Amino acid sequence: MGNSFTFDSIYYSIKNNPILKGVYLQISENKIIGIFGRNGSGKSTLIKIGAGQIAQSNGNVFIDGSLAHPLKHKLFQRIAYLPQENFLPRDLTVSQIISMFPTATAILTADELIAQWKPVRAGSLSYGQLRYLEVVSILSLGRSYALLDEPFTSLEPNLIERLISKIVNYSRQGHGVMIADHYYQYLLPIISDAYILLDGQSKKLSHTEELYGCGYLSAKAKIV
Amino acid sequence: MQYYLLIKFLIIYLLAFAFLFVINTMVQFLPIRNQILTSSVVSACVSLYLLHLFLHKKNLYVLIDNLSIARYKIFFNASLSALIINVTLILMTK
Repeated sequence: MGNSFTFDSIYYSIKNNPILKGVYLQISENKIIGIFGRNGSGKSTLIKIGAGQIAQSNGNVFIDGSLAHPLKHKLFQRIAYLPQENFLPRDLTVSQIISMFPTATAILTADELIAQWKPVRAGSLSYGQLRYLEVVSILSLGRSYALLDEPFTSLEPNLIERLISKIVNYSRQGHGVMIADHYYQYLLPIISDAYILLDGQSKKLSHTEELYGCGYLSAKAKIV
Repeated sequence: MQYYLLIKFLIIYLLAFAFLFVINTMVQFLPIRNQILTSSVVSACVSLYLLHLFLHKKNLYVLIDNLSIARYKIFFNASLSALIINVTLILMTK
């Protein structure tokens, strides 16, 4: 359990409605993990638990072997978390937002797209542009683990490919990445392990073709 | 980030204070120092809660956590600045 991020028997329920029922998952350094599952299967909830935003009803989260809890603030400093919703203040310019990330300013400024948007207010960017800025800023924090919840939503294919190469580079630098997204065509080639959430439980996929059998993909969908 | 949130808090606080002070003056006939004291304490509590709602609704707690800023520091700084304004206002009316 040394240098890894582990979800061990995670249970979570809202008002007696169980969402997660004993999820086990492990993210190791240098690896990219893909989480798939139908809408409402608990992907975002699992990521929120991992990021310490909500507390699980039962079970444990271990970060590099230490037991994590939302009240243990320091342990979660090893995690960078990208939520499903936008989180950057829209009334600030991109330049002002970049200055909020003192350790990452150089990396953010080096991206030519972000450099172009510097004088623009974040609220004036399109949803896709804002999403790109958010993902790059999360990766540039350089934390041990990055938990990304739907990073490719609303992005054009060109931007998705740029992000994919950034995520792969990030992973090669020794970081662990967990991604939940429905863009399986882009994810499958880069992930080392794929999990699917079914009935509140996680199942490790031994073969990507299993995405058909569990009802996540229809027979018409093609796996590249 | 902390300055950005402090400015947001002070705007909310001063607006709440001005509103409560005017209402207080219209309905009560207390000495001015007492009116400042009651208005400032109530507006500080209300604005701290509004700051929490703002952070929650705009998803800024996530940004705070990602930047490794302790959440309590935001509220501690806001409370401290409200206290300084309260004391200054009360001393000014001496």
